[in-house]
Amino acid sequence: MADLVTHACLALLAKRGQQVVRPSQPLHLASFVAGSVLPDLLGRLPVDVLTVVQRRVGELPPILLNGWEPFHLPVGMVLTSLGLATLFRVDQRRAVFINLLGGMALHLLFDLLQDHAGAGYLLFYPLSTRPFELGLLGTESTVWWAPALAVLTAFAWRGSLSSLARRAGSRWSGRVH
Amino acid sequence: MNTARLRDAGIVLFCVIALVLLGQGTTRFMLTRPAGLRAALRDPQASDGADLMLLLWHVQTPPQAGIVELSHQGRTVVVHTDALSGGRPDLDVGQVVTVQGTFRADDLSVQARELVVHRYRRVKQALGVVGMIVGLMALPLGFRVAPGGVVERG
Repeated sequence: MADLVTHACLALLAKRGQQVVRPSQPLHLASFVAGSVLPDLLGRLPVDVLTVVQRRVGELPPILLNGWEPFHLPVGMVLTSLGLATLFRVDQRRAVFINLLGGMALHLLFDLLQDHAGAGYLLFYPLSTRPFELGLLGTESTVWWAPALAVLTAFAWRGSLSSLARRAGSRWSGRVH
Repeated sequence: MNTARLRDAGIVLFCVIALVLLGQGTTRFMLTRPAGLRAALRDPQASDGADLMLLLWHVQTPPQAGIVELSHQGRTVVVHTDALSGGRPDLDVGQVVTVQGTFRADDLSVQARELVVHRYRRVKQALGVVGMIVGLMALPLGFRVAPGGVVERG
């Protein structure tokens, strides 16, 4: 997996591109970006946390360490997007589902570029357990890009960022006075 | 509860059950797959000399005389590093490494052929934490809860 900053920045840049190419199309930025980070938050973070817990309290049931993998697989991504989209207001569900799934697909696509010495991802699970990856990038190579990507993303979204800062500033000064 | 809400609850329940079943399936696959360290330890004699990979394992003890102990999710294994092409690697406890090598049935260890040190794993994890904190802070900007369900802003 690449780091979360890289995934979120790539999603934000993809949506900025959509905004430029199709300005009239609804953006659904939040669900797309959420989709781009959820595979790691749901599929990797619990494993890291529970591994630390296991080191302290003793052996945990194997499913607690291996059962999160589907969140990082296409079949789990579809189910997660469907389940989450159902929690949204009816008129937004379809768009939220598509954007959550789109963000997750972008996440997986970028992760597939990495090289895990052939370990790869079980793309077609449960139909096949054959791992797949393209092996073009080192697993830590994104560490060097992340800061530059964050700056580039901030530049691409500078208009929204400055209006956000203005709104926060006026809210803050309203509270002070 | 009206029909629409019942249907929504059914969809969410279906997704949760399907994800749990898939999680059980991946767990079974990880524990029983015919390759890897677990498989080798199940039948050491049959797996003697078998190729295997230890992906993202932690250095558990300081390396001594070409031997290092690695751990991953509560399991530990001894790895012989004396036959590595680049000589014995300079390893510190807590570092994350990936090893490719062969299984040795006589002492249930691994003879490393290639060893990659993931020196920037902690930086990557730190970036993950930064991303998570920023994401949590930005969550109210993207979504709000309304009477008809969650609403995406913008």
